[in-house]
Amino acid sequence: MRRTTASSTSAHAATIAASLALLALAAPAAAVGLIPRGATWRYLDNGTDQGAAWKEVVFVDSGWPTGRAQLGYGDGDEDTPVGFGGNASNKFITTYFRHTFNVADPGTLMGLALRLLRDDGAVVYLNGAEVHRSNMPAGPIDSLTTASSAIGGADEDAFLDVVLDPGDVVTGDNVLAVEIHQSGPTSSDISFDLELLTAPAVLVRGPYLQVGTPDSVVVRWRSDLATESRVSFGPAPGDLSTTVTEPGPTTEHEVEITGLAASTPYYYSVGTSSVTLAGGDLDHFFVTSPPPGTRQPIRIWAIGDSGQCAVSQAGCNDATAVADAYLDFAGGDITDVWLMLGDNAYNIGTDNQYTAAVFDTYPHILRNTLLWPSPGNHEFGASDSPTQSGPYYESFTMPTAGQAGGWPSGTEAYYSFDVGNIHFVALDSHDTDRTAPANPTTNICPGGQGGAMYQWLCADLAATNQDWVIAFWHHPPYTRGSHNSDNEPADSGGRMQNLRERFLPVLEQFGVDLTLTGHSHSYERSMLIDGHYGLSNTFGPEHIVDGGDGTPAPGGGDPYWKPTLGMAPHEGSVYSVVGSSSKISGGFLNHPVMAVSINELGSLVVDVDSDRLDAYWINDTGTVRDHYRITKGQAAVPSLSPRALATTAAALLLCGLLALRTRALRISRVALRSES
Amino acid sequence: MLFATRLVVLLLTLAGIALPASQARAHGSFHDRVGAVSARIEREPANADPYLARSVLYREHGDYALALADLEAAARLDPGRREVDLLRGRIHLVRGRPEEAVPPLERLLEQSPDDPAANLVLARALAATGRHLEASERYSRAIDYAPVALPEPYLERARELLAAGDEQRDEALRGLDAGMQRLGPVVALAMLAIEIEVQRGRVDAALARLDGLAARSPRQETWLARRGEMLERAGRREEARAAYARVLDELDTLPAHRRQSPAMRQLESQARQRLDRLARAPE
Repeated sequence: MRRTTASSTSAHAATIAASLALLALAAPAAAVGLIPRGATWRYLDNGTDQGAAWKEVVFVDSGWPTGRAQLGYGDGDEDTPVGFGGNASNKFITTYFRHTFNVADPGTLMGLALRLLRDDGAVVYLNGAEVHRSNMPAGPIDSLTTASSAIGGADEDAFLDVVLDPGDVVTGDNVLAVEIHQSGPTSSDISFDLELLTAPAVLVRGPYLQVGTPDSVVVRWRSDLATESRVSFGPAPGDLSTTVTEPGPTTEHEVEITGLAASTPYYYSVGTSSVTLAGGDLDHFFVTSPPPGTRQPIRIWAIGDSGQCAVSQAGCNDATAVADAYLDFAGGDITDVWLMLGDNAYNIGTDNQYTAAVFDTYPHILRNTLLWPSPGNHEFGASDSPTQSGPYYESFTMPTAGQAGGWPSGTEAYYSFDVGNIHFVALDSHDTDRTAPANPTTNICPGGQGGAMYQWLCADLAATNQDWVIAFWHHPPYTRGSHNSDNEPADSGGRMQNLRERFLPVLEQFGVDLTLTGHSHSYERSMLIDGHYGLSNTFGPEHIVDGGDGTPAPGGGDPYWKPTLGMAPHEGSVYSVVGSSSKISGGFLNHPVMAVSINELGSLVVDVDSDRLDAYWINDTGTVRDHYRITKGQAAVPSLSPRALATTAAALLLCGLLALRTRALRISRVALRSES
Repeated sequence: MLFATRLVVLLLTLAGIALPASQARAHGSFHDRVGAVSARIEREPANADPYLARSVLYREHGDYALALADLEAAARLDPGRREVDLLRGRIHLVRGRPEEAVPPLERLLEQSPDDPAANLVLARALAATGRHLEASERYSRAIDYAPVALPEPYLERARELLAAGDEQRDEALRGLDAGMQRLGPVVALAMLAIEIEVQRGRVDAALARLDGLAARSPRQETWLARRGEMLERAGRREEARAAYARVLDELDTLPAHRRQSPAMRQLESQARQRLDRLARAPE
């Protein structure tokens, strides 16, 4: 399957301002008010039982008094006080309300929703038919039927969202009738207000795709008014015959589709039972993951510190250029895994900043690519891992129960998942306890020691048998870009050091192949290294598994080679800073572990195919500025390369002298980098 | 959204609004951001908001004295600002003076007893000062008021209960089980529960928990080693011997690259030593 609208990015920047303007409006303003909040209603507060006729359109209510909502008594916030019969210990149970509104052409109504303030219970009728019941018992209702419970506190002021069927609206006059019921004759107050809105189905975010597995996916979107949530999907844009509906009205729609076939494309649309908000075209699709362990091509796109669009138009332009360059590179091929490496929305990751920097910057990619985020420091101006609150956690759905593979983490702050023959690990390097056992570089995963994230990582990596492990988080263990991993704790509160000293030993023990981070606004990429957990001045040849640049021939170098196809400890890892996806900030860019350091805008593409990993760093003009390859397993042994010989047991004796010579060359390279 | 989160959003948003575009673009620079907020303080010296925003920046940068000074300034300008106490508590905790974190957090919680963030920070401050039972009670409130369950408060509460004394072990275990009931088999909670079961002499219960964890893992060697240790500690020597022997069997089934890894070599060595020890020790 190929992407069909890669060129749509150019139109994106122009939509940002419009989308922000839309979001700036209060939600009701985006819809048309058939009955506004604070409307004038006719009401009857004489304690009589009105039977059934009162709610019909033809009922003559001209004898009822009128008053502006809020109507009620007992709270002091009423615009129109209504009566309760004068006896405070034996108040009328039921008060009736009616409002007539006119619709010239019901066919133009895209949807219908009401917002109801009721204290205590209510039954709502549209043109004589009951359309909603709130806090009232089931069964017949009369004037003595009490509400199910007393309403108090903040609930007294809450407007409840209710989705209605626009098909119930008729041409001309329509009547909305409401009966408000007390919870008892001594209850102190009643309250009533209502707004009726049409065209509620304005899409303001998404749709976007989360937590993809071989048989399920989560589809999310945001509408300006609360509606039900419906996803229709099928094998073709014109065949979306299967639907999943979540009836509860919400503006934050999150629908999990299950029972899907692995490695299968599905097209989809989102909306309600009456309105399609998006999709049903060639651009809205997802492809389910292959079963774990499957060896087939997997494409990964990683961006870091990409959130500058929330700050400036220039940031938008840069982020968009990076995305466009990637899409051009991809040439229409789909992206199986999209990683965000933190600082996804500057400056502090508010909801509006997330809208601008993520959902309005990449809508064309979000709608057909599974996104797996990790948080950076800039997320935590508005979000909070210890309480898992704020826009980062509210915007994204991450697997907490191991449902996408891996060990259950019990939290969205850190998690894991499998795609094909790759195991992915996401850590929270900023706001989650990073405690490890004492002497963490040698006392690795002793069991029962360290914080919850550390222990989870140990269990998670011990429980996977995938060919490849890719870990990602925000704070780089090695960098000399706009941050300096030697300058801890002054720089970043010790987080880079924590990750390097406490978590890298675990990852390397279990054979992690590639680690992706951001934070420094540049691209830095290491040699194939192992066992380096100190400051940069402690890095030496003993930590170098392969000191080359990993470039596949022709044109230089040789790919990195790891003897084992699978997770084997200490065969070397590549550490990469991918932090310039919307901004560059320079720096010394001379960390000695790095084979390549570039101060340009860009993003990283990782293609994994069975026993081979190719990584391409693409700048914002589409130039591939770094390409390295890791091959794994005996079948991938390159012919007589120094690395292969040095790491193949059968060739150890034969290559003794050659290995010594290679090591001497690596030492020279390290020294040169340190001086540059 | 939660109280504490709202506060931070408000504070930093206010600071962000003040950033001119040229400086806002330099978001990555701590000094630029501090400079922008400081400029706002100069323009609005009677406004507490930029002081609070700058305090957060200083705290993140590790400049705790400066962060506290800005909080004091904000408190003088606006004595009613409740968030000052939460920020004070966080700073004192992160600077390693937990005892100084307690009073402002307690003040805040008198006004907002259901704030999960303030309860959690206070719990951690109490834990750091050795007030274990009080800490566990605060953890419980943080858990109760939190919108979602998370592993860390459950784990930390159990550790505080254990630190409070042996008589709290069952309570700690109940808390861990409550956490796993909500969160699933979170390994940190499960491992501590196993340890408590062993401490209580309920080895079979511990083994059952261990088996539950092991069943999720495709490789059994490390779980079997733990099983052997638990059985050995309980004096169940034959079963311990069998477990260690199975460790060696499992290791034999591993491909060479895994069997030769440092961790597996260490596991093999330990299993052989323990088998040897069990063989030599008198029954």
